[in-house]
Amino acid sequence: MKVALIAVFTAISLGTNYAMIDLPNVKLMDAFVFIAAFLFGLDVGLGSAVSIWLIYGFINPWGQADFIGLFFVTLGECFYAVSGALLRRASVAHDALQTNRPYGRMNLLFGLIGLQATFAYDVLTNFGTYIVRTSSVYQALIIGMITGAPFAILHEGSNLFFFATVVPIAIAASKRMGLPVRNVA
Amino acid sequence: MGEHRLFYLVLAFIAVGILSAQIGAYYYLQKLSSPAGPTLGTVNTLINYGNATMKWYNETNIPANWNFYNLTVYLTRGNIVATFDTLLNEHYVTGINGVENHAPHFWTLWTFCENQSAWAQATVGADEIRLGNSTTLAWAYQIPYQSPMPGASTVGLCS
Repeated sequence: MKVALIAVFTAISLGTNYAMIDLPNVKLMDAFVFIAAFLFGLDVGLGSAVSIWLIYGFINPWGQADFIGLFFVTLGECFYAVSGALLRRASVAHDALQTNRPYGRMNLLFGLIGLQATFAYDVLTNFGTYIVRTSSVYQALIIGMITGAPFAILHEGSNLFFFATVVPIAIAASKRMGLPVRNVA
Repeated sequence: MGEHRLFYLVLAFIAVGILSAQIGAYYYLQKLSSPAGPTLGTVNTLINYGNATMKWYNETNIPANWNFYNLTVYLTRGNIVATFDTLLNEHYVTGINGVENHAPHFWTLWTFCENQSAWAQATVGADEIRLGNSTTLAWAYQIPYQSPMPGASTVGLCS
């Protein structure tokens, strides 16, 4: 069952990634990984994150990722799975889902969580881009953050939007369709 | 919402921090890449590759806060090999435009002394050489220390 779920999330993530290939750093993939972990657990989220990048890292119109880059983007993608799994266990998400009109709270909650996970992803991957090109970890961090700022802003802005809109809708729809979205803490 | 107010506040506070960090980084990037800004003047730079190949970069406009390392990166379009010494807070340049240190040949830094009409070997690294208007500088790939320009005189220190 979990393998099938991972395959489905990988497929829809890759499909939307390739469809949105002309929009650099604007992807629904991160939201899907988050949803996978939130609805079905950390293992499904992590499995989706890794399998997406194993394909997208090698088969990509913008070029193939090197192994160091692939390591950092895969690790960064796992942040979304971890944040989805952690939020699934948090009472704040449970309460937001239980209210009669959940969208206001869920938009805010998932939007802010998505923004923070995306920031962590951007810092890590920009750092990873420069770690072998600079002479210190500090330089890699600072140069990565500065040179990657335009792409990071685009990524964080779009994910703030997607996490505040797509994620609550998907989770609320899953709940309406009878999928057990519950607090497992 | 009431019972999780603190949680939402912390999330919002972190979000503001992220926003500030990214705007700051973006602003800094724009500032770095912008040719506008206070300029100090112009400098002349010689790069002597040691194989009878010399190239002059004359009257290069420089921002007020540049040092010789910044200028070198600019002139070579980043085609340099350098390691950063965190203790000295300086770059040690070992290669310029594909020509790298190979003992006994090394890249050496020089400044031109107007008063003595002679070249002086730099006593500090490129990061410590602050640029002034109409300064003339040189990189020379050589067995240290000969004049960066064949036939030109040298002095120990500029007066």
